[in-house]
Amino acid sequence: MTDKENITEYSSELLGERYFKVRHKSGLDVYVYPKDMVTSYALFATRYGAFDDKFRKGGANGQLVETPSGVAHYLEHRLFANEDGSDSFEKFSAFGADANAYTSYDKTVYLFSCTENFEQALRELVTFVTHPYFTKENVDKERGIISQEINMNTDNPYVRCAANLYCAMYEHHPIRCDIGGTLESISRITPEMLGDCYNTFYKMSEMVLIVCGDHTPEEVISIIDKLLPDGGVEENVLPERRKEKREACIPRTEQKMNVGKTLFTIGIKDTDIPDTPMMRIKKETAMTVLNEILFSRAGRFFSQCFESGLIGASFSCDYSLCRDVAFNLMFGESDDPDRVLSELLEYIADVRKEGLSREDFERSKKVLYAGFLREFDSTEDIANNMVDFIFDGVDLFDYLDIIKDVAYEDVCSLLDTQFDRECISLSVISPL
Amino acid sequence: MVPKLYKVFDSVDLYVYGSNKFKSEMLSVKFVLPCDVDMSPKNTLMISVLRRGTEKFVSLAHINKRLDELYASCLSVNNSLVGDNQVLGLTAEIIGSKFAYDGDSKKNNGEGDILDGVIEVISQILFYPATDENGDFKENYVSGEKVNLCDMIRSRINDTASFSVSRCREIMFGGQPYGISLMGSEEQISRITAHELTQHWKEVMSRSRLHCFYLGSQDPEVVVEKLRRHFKDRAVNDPYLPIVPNENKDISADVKVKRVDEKMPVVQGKLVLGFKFPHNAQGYAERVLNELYGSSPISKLFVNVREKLGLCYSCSSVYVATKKIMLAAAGINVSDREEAENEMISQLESIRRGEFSQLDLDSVKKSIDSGIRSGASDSLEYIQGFYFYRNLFGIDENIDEFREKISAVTAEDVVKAARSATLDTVYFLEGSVGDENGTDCEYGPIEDTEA
Repeated sequence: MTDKENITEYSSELLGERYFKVRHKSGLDVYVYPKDMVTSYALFATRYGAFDDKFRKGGANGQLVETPSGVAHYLEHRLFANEDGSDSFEKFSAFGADANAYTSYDKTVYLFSCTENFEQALRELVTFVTHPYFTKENVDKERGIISQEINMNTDNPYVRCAANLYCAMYEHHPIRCDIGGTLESISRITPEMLGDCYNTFYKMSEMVLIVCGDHTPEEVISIIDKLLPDGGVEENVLPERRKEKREACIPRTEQKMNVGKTLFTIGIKDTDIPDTPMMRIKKETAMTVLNEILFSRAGRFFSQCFESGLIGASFSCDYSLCRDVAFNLMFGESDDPDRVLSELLEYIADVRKEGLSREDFERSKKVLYAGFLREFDSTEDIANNMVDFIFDGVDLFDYLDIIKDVAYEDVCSLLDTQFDRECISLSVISPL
Repeated sequence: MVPKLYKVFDSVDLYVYGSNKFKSEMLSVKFVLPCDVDMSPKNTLMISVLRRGTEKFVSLAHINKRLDELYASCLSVNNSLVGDNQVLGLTAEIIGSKFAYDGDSKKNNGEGDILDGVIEVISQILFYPATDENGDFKENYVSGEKVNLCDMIRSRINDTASFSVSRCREIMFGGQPYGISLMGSEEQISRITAHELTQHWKEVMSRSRLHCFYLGSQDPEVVVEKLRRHFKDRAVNDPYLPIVPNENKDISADVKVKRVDEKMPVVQGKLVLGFKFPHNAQGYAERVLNELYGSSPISKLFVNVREKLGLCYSCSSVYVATKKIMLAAAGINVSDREEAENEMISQLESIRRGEFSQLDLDSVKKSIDSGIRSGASDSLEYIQGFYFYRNLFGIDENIDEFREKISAVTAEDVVKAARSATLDTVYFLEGSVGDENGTDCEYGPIEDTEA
């Protein structure tokens, strides 16, 4: 490697772990996390997901393009096809590597794991992602496959419960649409559209390459050096920030489906989204601590509802903050989801009066720490965790301090501001 | 490296796989019972009632609070069908003591022994359940878990992919141990009383040997000592013995394919083909065949049924070593059912004719080998599972020997394995949404022609 000054090392004494960041001459940020494991895991990701349905072609002053829902996911499916008629899956298989890809709301990730032939597999990953080939024929052919993926999700009551909830909470945010789109929206997707989206979002400045395994930064850079040309200064694509009203749009939604017992998701819309990456992750962490205090399986709410048979063992909760949306979800099974919601609101009112227990607060931080620690036992977990942190703009190891620094007072103030009735929607899937 | 056996008591074995590579450690305690249509649902109910409360940790909340104090140790209930056996137990995943952290980023100096605490919880759950004044399991725990189990039985339909694969298995092995549902029926569950379940637990405990597996960095003798201190030294009479797979003797050309169609008010149909291999199959060529047929991105099913014909998004197969069967499943449009079935069968026939390249064969063997190497080196679950099942069935084979046998499989072996696969059952879950009869919901067999 020539540009040694471009290497930044990040480390954690407590974990006994470290990783390196290299700004490659192509403009790509490359992260190498050395790990003494047989399994190497690499991912190549772009900040382009289902939320990016509107963008300006050719920069900030370019033409505004609106695309049907499902384009990012469709593009991910088609990128494995090569101009010579081959499919990259075949090449990975010949190296003994296991390749895959996924699309989420805010990113698209291409990945592989292997125990040998790492160099060839990494070359293939970087090559196929940087060489799109979309023709009418191959794009049309994919429609049948993606239609079946959409049908599969149409029959999935857990997916439907969440999707209905997002439509109830949000007025116009793209979270209202499924990541894969609909049978109708994908019928409008063309090779030209995929090409436009590719050219806008698959720029090195929007992407990141992460390698975790028994490898050095020098080794990784020497492999990709010949594959990626020097890059000029590129203008970053600024994701559109949407404004949503504070309140949930519809308080309750219900669909009848092929289920054995009624499922529910309670969603609490949160429009108070901090501006800086660090403030956002701090808020997300404090909310996760609050959820653990309030809804843990060792806590009062879960115990009372479970012992009385109001909810089943599957009850869980999750706070998410992704770009311009944030919400707190509680999901489970119950014969009477409306009562679960009313009990929850009563419980919150009680806890606000009594105050949060400091013992529970400390216990909850311990739970978060242990959960985070466990993610360092697999190269796959490390790389996937890293991509989330990198796209959020925060160093992975900072998370230990972020957990430590969550103050009791922060969590108490969140308890006072969250859980307002007008921000809550209830989504129910009941048996036919 | 092979795990080493330590005797905790006559009735309790401990296998230790020493490793300081992971930040987590794992301890599992399992026992093996024969699958039985009457007994298995009781076992399923029993393990969930035991997890509800103990003498010392009187409720689920108390157990969970204790686990949280032990650095959020995860304690999961195991209940699985392994060949004709039901394997029950508990698996704990804990963080290594050197990572215990007191909240102020100072390391915990060995205070609060996490492993010891978790062993105590496991011991409490298995040996010291919460009981009423008559010594029976607490009525409210039993009735609560009966309701939960009945909910789970009804909720099997929520996931049509796993439901249809289970139905295919049940039909393939109708009337045999492997054809049962471990959860049983709602009617069976509703009849079980707290007293009966307590007596059942006593019998199970008096007839079960415990198989423990520890993967971590602590001195094995220390782990043995902790287990001795917390576990009971029980006399085991008339022990349950693991049932070694010896199956599929009924395969013959005369046996007709069982065809079952069931309707459900969903959009997508699920087609499952169940194949049986002869009872003397060694399992290595069959694994390679499965990978080539439907378990990799270059497999016949993926490349042809999905990519070429675009009939489905998911189309894959799985080989079940303990029963020497292969199940191939696809999610399709109901109207494509015939084409999908014909194509799935014709892809197996192409392997029977040897229509695959040496590169294909080498690739799928590499893929299996990579999975084994990766799991055996880097995954706590894989290492535990690999040796648990081999110990259970008395198979003397380590990871390297397993890899060598996969590597030795030839194209001829794969062709032979494909030719020996007999189609036993075709199960179709017919999505009826959009059909004129779409409002009816029939879960029973509506057609059972060639059975």
